Order: sequence, then structure tokens, then C-alpha cells
Amino acid sequence: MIMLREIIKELFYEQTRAILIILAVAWGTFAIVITLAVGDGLRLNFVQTMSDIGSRILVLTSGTSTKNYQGILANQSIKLTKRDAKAIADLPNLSSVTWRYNFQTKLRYQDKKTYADLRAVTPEYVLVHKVKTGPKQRFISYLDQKKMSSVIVLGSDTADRLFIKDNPVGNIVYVDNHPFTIIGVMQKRPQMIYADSVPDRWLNWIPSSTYELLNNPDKVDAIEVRYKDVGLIEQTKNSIQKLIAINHGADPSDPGIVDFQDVAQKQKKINNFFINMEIFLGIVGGLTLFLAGVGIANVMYASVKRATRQIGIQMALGATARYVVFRYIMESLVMTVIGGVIGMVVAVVFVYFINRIPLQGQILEWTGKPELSLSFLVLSIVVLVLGVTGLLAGLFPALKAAKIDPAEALTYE
Amino acid sequence: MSEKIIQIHDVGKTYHTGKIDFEALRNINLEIEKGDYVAILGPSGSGKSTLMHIIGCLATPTVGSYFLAGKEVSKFTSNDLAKARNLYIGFVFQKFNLMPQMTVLDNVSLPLLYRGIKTEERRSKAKEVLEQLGLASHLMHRSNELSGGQQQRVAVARALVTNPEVILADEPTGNLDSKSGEGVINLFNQLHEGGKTVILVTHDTAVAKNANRIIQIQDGTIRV
Repeated sequence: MIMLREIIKELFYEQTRAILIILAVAWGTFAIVITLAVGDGLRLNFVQTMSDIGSRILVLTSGTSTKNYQGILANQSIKLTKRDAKAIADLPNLSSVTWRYNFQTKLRYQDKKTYADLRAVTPEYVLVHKVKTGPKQRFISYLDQKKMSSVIVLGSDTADRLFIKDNPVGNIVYVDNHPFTIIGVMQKRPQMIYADSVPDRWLNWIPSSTYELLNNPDKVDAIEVRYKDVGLIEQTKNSIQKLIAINHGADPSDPGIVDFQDVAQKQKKINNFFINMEIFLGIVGGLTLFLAGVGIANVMYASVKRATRQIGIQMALGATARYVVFRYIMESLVMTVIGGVIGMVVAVVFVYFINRIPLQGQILEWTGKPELSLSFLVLSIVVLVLGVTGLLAGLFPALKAAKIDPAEALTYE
Repeated sequence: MSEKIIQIHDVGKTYHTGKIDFEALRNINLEIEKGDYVAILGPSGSGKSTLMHIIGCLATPTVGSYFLAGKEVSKFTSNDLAKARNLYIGFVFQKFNLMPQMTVLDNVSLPLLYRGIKTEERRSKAKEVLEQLGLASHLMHRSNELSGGQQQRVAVARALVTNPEVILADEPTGNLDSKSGEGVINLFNQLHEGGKTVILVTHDTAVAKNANRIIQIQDGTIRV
């Protein structure tokens, strides 16, 4: 405490030097906080986006046998069927199973027309994909499925293209000239990765039974399952593969007969990308702070040189070398802490206002609205980097100061 | 029998500058008793400053031994030397060597800071000494706001604040006009009368004459 007061007095005495150093540290701190906040914000936004949709989705599509087995020849396409989906539903570690038919067709609403992607699905689809509809609207029900109703849930993108603004429930959309009653419009949500080939907002859904009635398909385009425990995913895949092999008379050990896409794997890759980006941004910010640290060290070196005589006087009066080292490190740390606090406060205020700017643009449909994140992790990293910078910036000039010979220093002009 | 505060036996000091060795002191034998008033007199380059550095624990001898208050400081580490300076020596320099950024009060309390004494006690002791030296009205002034004579009185106050065994003054009147110099010398005379051991290092015979004992030094040795 005694020393701290002396140091602060000295900083006041050499205001210009102190202000320049403090500004450099404040700028460095601001840079590292903002870059880390951007990186962390994007990653957390992605995690949030994924948690809205869920990642434990496995998509099964038809495969091709890779070897001859009983009646099945190599290179023979294995077409997935409803029967496969129903059998898979009985396997453990699965919470919901649906199958889907994919098709593209023309939609007409009043005088508006558009081409759209359609999916004919079972009511379980909503459990797999967590699709949400607007208030007083609904997704395809078991009754729709049973009655093979001509009902449709529109994707938010299709609703926009057909200029549907108010609640369109009960209105008719023509699907390739067949009238379908709108029962819901999907609520908009950002989606950076998806189980299907296109984002959910581009899709429109009708009951699979209705599609089957109209088209009598002999295969499904995909079976989608939501699983419970990611740790059991390999066993689950094996069980599914064996079951499909048995259903189709194929080799149960042939991995080619069914194609798996795991959304969790995609999520992991993107999450890793964000973490790497965060590390990269952290390094960039850290370098800025490091440069500020070099600045401090330089100014401190000059300060030690200028204060050689004073250091000699202090030593003559009884200051030990240890005291001198400690004193200069403390001086560096004091300036770093003051600069760091200023930088952090400015960054917090900056983040507060930036997060309140209403962002607009198509990119947000994919990414959502990322907010700069000042998490405990970000602040901990900043405090750690600041501490090390302050310590190192002060250490070398301090060691130089401690090596001063008091007898020589007293004659220094 | 008086107690010997300083005992220097066969001390020599050699400086190594590049390939050249310079012998600043050789065969120095000196004893100073507690309460003595000694002047070390010599011309520029005679080695008196080197001797002062050794007596003041600012440097250690190359050969020989030096006992300060019974302790062989010639074998001390730099940290121990710093503590010995703080404990036993009160320095007064020719150029006053006050800290320009500090007030008179802070300057005088500085040696107590290195002893780890708390602010209030430091300030109270410093104030007491400054009042004794007639500087009570200048406590909050900075050194550059004072005259040379006043600055040297502040330096004397700083030397006295720790109540050291030895007051070691290096050309204390060298930067002062004759009137101020006289005032400072009177101060040392009073300190001696009060029982302090005072060592004046000077080239000025008139200053040296104030001491009870004059040690003349020339070419790095004491002239007998």
C-alpha cells in the first residue's frame, strides 16, 4: 500500500508518459475484448441456433450393396421403404422416426405462383425437426395422416414468396393443381446446418399418406430419426444397418447398404470452426495487447534510464534491489490495470450499444442475430493476458533498474 | 574507552575498466570512534569519494576488511548493504539529491519507507526533524521551490530521520554560497555536539577545519 501510493504520485508527476502508456493498454484491451467477444458471440449464437433445432438427428438414405450376398448382387441399390422406417422405430435409443418423400412442384395461392420443395412426411416429423408453426396453427396430425387429408404446412420462405401475411389457416393452396388447405406456416428461425438438403424454411409439408394415395411410391426418399444418447450412436447405426439388411436380404456387415448423415457431426465441425476462429481472433487481439506491452516496456526502459540517478539515491537511502524490482513491476502493473479497466469499460459500453443496433439482411436467416459476448471466459482470458503483459513489460526494465550501481548512479547526470 | 564505529583494515579498491586496472585506494587503515567529528580531506581524484563509498556501504573493498558498528560489511550482499545504509548511515550529498517530484515531507520520510514504517509514523517523524531544522513552513513544498541552503537542510533532515550512527556528508557546501555553506556547517557542528558521528568528505580545508580530526588522502592512500 505504501508503495502503491508512491507509484500513483509518481504517475501524476509524469502524467504524459503515464497517459500514453495507459491509452496504449486501454486500446490493446479494447481490441482483445472486442475480437474475443465477436468470436464467442458467433459461436454461442450457433450453439443457441442448434439448440432450437436439435442436433441428434440421423438421416438415412438409400445405399448400394458393395458385395454379393445371397440374392443381392454387388452395386445393387437398396431402396428404403416405409416398412424399414416402421421397423427402425422399435429400436432402442430412438425417440422419433419419420420417413419422407421429396418432390418439387408448382404452388399457387390466389393469383401468386411459385416453385417449391415439398416433403411428404408423417406427424413424427415435427418431433424430429422441432418445426414450430404460428399461433392457432398446427403441423400435420395423426388424424390428417389417417384420413389422408389434403392439408399443407408452408415454409416461411414460401409464405413470403406467396405474399402471405395474415394468418392463412383455412385458405387453399394448389399443389400441382390439387387443392390443399393451409393448416400452418412455419415460424422463421435461423438455421446454419440442416438435416435435409435445404434449410427448413424453404420446405413445405403434406401428409405422407396423402402423397402415397396420389403417387403410390415404392420407396421413401429418406428416413429421419432423432436419437437419445449420442454415446450410443455407433451401436444405433449398426442396429439400423442390420435391420435394413435383414429387410432387404443384404449382407448385415455391408456398410454400403444405407447412407447415414449425422447432424451432430456437422455441428461438431462447425463448432470446431468457431472455436478455431475464436482462437485466431484472440491471437490477433492478444498481439495488439502484446504491442502495447512492448510499448510499456520501451517507455519503462527509457524511464529507468532517465531515473538512474534517482534510483541511485533511493538505493543510497536503503532501497534494496528487490524493492526496486518490485517497485517497477508494480508501476507497470498499475498502469496496465488502469489501462485494462478503461479498455474493458469502453468495450462493455461498446458491446452494449452494438448489440442494440437492429441488424438486417439475408445472412441473418442463416446465422440468426449474433450478439457480442462478454463471457466469463473472455474476461478471464483478457485479465490473464493483461497480467502477463504488465508483468513482463515491467520485469525487464525492473531488472535493469536493480542492476544499477548506487555509487555510479549518484554521479549520473 | 570509546566504541569504534568504523574500522577499516588494509582496504584497497581497484576498478577494472576494459583491460586497464585502476587502483583508487590502497592500504587504507582507519578507525573512527562513535561521536567523532572527522574530515576526509583530499584533492579531486585523490580517492576520497571511493573511500566515502566504502564507508557509506555504497561499494565494497576489493581487498581488506571493513567493520561498521562491529559488523563486517565488506562481505555483505547488495541487499544487506542496502539495509546497512538505511540503518547506520545518513547521507548528505553535494547536489542535495532530493526527489524533485516529492514534497519536502515525502523526501525526508523516504528512508523510513524502505524500513517498512507506516505512512503516519513516517510523516510524523519527518515532520519532527524538519521542525527541528527550522523547515516547518516548507513541508509541502517541492525541492525546486527551495533555495540551495534550504535544500541542503532538507537533505540533512533526510539523513537524520532514521537516527543513524553516522552522518556522511560528501562536499556538503560545494553547491552553496558561503553564507548557506556556513549555515550547513554549523548544523553539522551542532549534530556533533549532540553526540552524532559526523564524517565530512571535502577538498576544502576551511570546511575540514571544523572537524576534530582531519584525515588527508592523496593518490589513494592516507597521508600520515
